[in-house]
Amino acid sequence: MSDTLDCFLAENERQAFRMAQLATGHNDDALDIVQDAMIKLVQKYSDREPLEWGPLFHRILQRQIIDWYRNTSIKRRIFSWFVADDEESSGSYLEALADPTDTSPDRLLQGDQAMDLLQSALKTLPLRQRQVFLLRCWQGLSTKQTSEAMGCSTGSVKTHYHRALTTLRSRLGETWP
Amino acid sequence: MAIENKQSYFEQAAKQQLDDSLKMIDAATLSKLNQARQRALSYEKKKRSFHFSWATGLLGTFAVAMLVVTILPSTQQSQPLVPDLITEQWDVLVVANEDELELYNELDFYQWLDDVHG
Repeated sequence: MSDTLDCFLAENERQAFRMAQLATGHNDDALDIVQDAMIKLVQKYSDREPLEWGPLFHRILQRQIIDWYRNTSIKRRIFSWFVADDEESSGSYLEALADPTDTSPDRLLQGDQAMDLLQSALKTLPLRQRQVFLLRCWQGLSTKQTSEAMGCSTGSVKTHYHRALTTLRSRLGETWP
Repeated sequence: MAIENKQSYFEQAAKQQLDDSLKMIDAATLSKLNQARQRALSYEKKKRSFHFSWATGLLGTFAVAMLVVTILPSTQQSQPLVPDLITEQWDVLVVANEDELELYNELDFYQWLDDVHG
């Protein structure tokens, strides 16, 4: 069982790290998130059938990412005086939160331009849309599986995915990649 | 249909880009990921050893209980064996000594003598 679990984690750790990295924008935070997700899977669900590990791991990982965002947003609220009151009271702060990572032309010239463009476009998406896009498009999860991993309705998943696709296509343009 | 194909192409291209990006993860990060995985798997070993110690404890208790249940009745049965053993030894002593044997054969005579002259 331990070898099977090792193989499962080895196969999924890179994708998990990349998803966490795209969500947080920081390598160390992404590594912490992936490690915590792995530990929780091992502690709680290692006795389950290996086929169940995939959806469970995605669910744990998404929860970890959301928790990271919550903690970060709380820190931002505490330490930054310029956060608007209406954003705080709206309740949808987490939904609308986008990563303000540097997307300058100099940065885009480095490395693979197509990937950099995609990465930059992904970072401008709200967290929920980005998670849904990565789970549906990259991980190949169905709408139902994505809704289970995200803890929301299938209708919400469809809406987020449609909006994510529309935004990405408009940002990347018709000629991408 | 054209829109669906275009979306499908876009999705495939995005997936391909994201897959390719996995190859660009540097060695230091891969090493840290490996360490994280090993740390997570160590919890599995701890969990198994915890379960093993529980199972061993239960098995040990069960074995002791079975031992007590099995030995206790046989000990109780073995207690009457001691007088039996003494009786057998007594019989052997009686048979082995000829004088004692004669005394026992004429026990009725000695009892009659005791009644008459006693």
